[in-house]
Amino acid sequence: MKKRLAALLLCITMAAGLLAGCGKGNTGSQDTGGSGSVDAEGKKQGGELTAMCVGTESDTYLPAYKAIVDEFNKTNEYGVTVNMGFYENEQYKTKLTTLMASNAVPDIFFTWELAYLEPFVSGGKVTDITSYLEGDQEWKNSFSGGTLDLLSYDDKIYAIPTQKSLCVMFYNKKIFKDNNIAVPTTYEDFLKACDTLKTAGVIPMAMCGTDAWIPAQFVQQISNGIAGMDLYNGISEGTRKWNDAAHVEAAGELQKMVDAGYFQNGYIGMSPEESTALFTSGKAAMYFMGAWDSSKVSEALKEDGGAFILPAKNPEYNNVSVGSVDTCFAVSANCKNKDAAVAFLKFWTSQVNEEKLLYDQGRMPAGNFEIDSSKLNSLFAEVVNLSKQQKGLTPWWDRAFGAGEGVEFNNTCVAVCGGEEPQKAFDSLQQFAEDNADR
Amino acid sequence: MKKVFGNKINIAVFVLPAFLLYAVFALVPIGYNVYLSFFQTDMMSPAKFVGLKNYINLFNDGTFTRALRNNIFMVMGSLIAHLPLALLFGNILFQKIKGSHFFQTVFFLPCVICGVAVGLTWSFVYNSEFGLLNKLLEIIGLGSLKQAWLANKNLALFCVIIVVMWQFVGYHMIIQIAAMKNIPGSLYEAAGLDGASKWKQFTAITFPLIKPILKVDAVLIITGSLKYYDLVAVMTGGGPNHATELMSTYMFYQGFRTLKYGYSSAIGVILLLLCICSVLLSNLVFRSEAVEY
Amino acid sequence: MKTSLKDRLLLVIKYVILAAFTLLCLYPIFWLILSSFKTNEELYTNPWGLPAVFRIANYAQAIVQGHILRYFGNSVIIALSAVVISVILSSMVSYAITRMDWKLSKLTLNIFIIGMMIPVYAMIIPLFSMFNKMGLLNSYLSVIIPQIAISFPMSIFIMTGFMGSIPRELEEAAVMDGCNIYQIFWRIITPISKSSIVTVGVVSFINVWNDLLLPQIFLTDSSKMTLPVGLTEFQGQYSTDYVTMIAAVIITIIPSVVVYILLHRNIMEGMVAGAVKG
Repeated sequence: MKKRLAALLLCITMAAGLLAGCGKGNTGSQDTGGSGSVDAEGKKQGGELTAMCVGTESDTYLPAYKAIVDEFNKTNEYGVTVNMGFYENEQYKTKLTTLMASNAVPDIFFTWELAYLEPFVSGGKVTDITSYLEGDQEWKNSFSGGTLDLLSYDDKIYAIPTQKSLCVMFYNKKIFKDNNIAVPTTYEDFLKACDTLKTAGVIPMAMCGTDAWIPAQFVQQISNGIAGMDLYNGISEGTRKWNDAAHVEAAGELQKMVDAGYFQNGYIGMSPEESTALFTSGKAAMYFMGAWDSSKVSEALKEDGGAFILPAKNPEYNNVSVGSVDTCFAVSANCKNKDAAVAFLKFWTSQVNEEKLLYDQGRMPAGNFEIDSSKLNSLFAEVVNLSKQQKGLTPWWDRAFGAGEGVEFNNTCVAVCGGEEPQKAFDSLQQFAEDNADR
Repeated sequence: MKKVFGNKINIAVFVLPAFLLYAVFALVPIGYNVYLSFFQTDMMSPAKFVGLKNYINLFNDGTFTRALRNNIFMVMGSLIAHLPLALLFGNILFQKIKGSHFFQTVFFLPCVICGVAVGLTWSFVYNSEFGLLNKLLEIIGLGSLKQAWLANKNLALFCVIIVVMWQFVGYHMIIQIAAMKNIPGSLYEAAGLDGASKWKQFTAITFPLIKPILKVDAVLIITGSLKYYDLVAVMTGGGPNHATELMSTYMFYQGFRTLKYGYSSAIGVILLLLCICSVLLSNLVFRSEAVEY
Repeated sequence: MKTSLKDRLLLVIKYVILAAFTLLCLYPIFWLILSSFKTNEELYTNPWGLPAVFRIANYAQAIVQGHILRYFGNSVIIALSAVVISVILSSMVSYAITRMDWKLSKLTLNIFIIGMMIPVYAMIIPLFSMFNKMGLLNSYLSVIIPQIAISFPMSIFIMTGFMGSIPRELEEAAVMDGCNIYQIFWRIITPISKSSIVTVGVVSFINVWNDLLLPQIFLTDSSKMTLPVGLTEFQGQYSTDYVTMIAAVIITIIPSVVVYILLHRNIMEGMVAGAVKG
């Protein structure tokens, strides 16, 4: 519970950190590529480090990731070669679990924060990297305030974030203009916009139903707009229940949108890539997704790509969004060359690389360096701007609660999409949460 | 003679390699699985003995009971889809009909194709955008029925059963034909002389004589339906919202995604018990007197 | 033989039924083959017709980017080793059970045959844990060994059925000639049982080749994966590149189909033999 409290605290500080990060001039370059500040006795021992990351061929930032790996391989003082494999999200989760149980985890692995990493930490499979961070305060301080707390267990840090993310509503500016729609500032406006688009024969929103977390993050966003941070905090601390009125109401809103036909036909059977393609090909007007898809959107829609935060149903909770750190990396406990692995993490989170990912790919950095807005394309700038405006961020439920309640929350949202009565669906989620406690 | 065929050492050489392999990698794991099902373990931290709690939890777990229901539905569906259809084809092809061998070969073909490939193929057929089924409905003027078949929680399981039928009808047909071939032709000749119709011959000779095989076949269908995994894993992954969840997919999920290996083992034990029960049950239902030709 | 009108009508109906199911069996495969030469756009706009150009780009893509050939090689290694070992060991056991004199032969046979109703799910987690402790996970052996163990019940069932019917005289004559038991087995029994051995081998081959579960769990390194796992991996990586996926599916099913066309008699007999004799 303490951890979850920390999590929510960090969310607030994180948003603050984003704001502050832009005001402060932190010009210290941290290109650790060849600096060797890691460890004075770092020897040239060579060898290979295996690494695993989430990503598919449709992720436009994949080449940039690979470029970072290549660069590290060329320049690192340990003479090691990092060999990074990429896997699709669902497959990655299965694979990592299997590898964990069999003690064959790659040296460096992608992870999510909070409850996802927790069992592996308590199983002793992850290297405690606190000492590395303490030994290099500059590195430690380069992370936005609170972000490392999401990856700390018993006050020890087990992974570092490379990005921050939040959910935004991407939209197609051209479609909005053609239909005389302004970016909605109230929830009612938003529904009205959907209605107008629907009448005009445009798919208002692209949605995917096969990956349950996608409708779920939308429900979470709506419920944030109904009950604010209190809801997240309450459920995390156990003072509010899963079948909270706000959840039921939010799910009801989703169902109304489904019934009104605001999502494409057959969305429930479409893979994420298929639904994304509807938006990037200009067939759908909006698309609710983590900001990590910015590069995909801007590559496809160019100047027509825009983003806004879904207006809260209860206006006092505007700008409480689903968001957290993203693309975190950890070092496995049985890694033979931990110094080199940590050096790799340090290299990845160096300002040079974070800037590269930000300016070229729109990946919001976990570091708190000053962002040069002039180097951002219009969409990236909008997204960065939006993130600065957030008053609070709530991590995705399936990251906060992991494979039990978290995943079941996602499934519950899909059930609601499929027509199940929201109250009933969330009652059974609550029941599940109570039953699941001792499985 | 006894010296050659009764030599203990020779027997051991012939039997032990296979038997040891089988015992260590098939029988022992089953016992170990039962043992594991009484524990809570993620295989990283020490296991905790919980007695029957995993089983009690299982039956309070809405998803598991759903998977169980789906499995039972699948068994029923497969029985209904397979037995009569296989019997129909079998009966047609068993009689002297031109191209009999060709048809048998073709009908059997799908069951040698790997389940993943079959699943992918049919997910293309059911695809809402370019799928053959939707296009076909459009052509015959039933465009209003077009939909994302595998995403419809009421239809998805049914769609999967159709694929199972497509894949295995030929298999069960061949089993039945093989049984029919064992029936002495003289019986039919005699019946023909008596002027019995083809239908009469079927009900009076074929059906009663292949009944024991139908029993075996039913067992195969039931245990087979309890074991489906790859088709569902590829086509729906158990979704939407567990609508096609089977015990096998749920077991995989609980074990290899959420690290509840003990809980997952308990599902394995229940699957095992169901397989054994279905064999015993069909022995009862299809109890038939010894057959004499 | 004269045929009445009714008989002829019945015959027509029969052929219509047969033809309809033939179409249902073959058309999806035919459609896959056609689609594998199309582009994704063509697949959407023209799912029925012929591709504008028969392009092999999809196959190239599946092989180069999808590493389908690597998976293919892994599948071959795993399936062949499992089948060879399984056939040798199970024919030896079958011989001992049917032809040798020992009290426990009936019991041994039953123990093996009971295995036919054991679902592999009831042993997968223990196997995972065992291989983990033995350090065998992520090696070909971790799939080959359980595949062999799983194949025994069916193989032994089929082979004992066949070997039980071989006349005694052959062996007796051989013993008179001074052959030992191994010579009898290799020189007399094996050649006679060739058809049932081929049957068992082919059936096991198909089962191992098509299996998803074991390699999916035990092989985590993508350089060791088999075709079915590779296909699911491919589905995750390129989920919107349908035509390439279709090409990969075709490459996967070719070996099974070729083996089937060549040996369909054995396969059909083998896959049902056990059932019929039971």
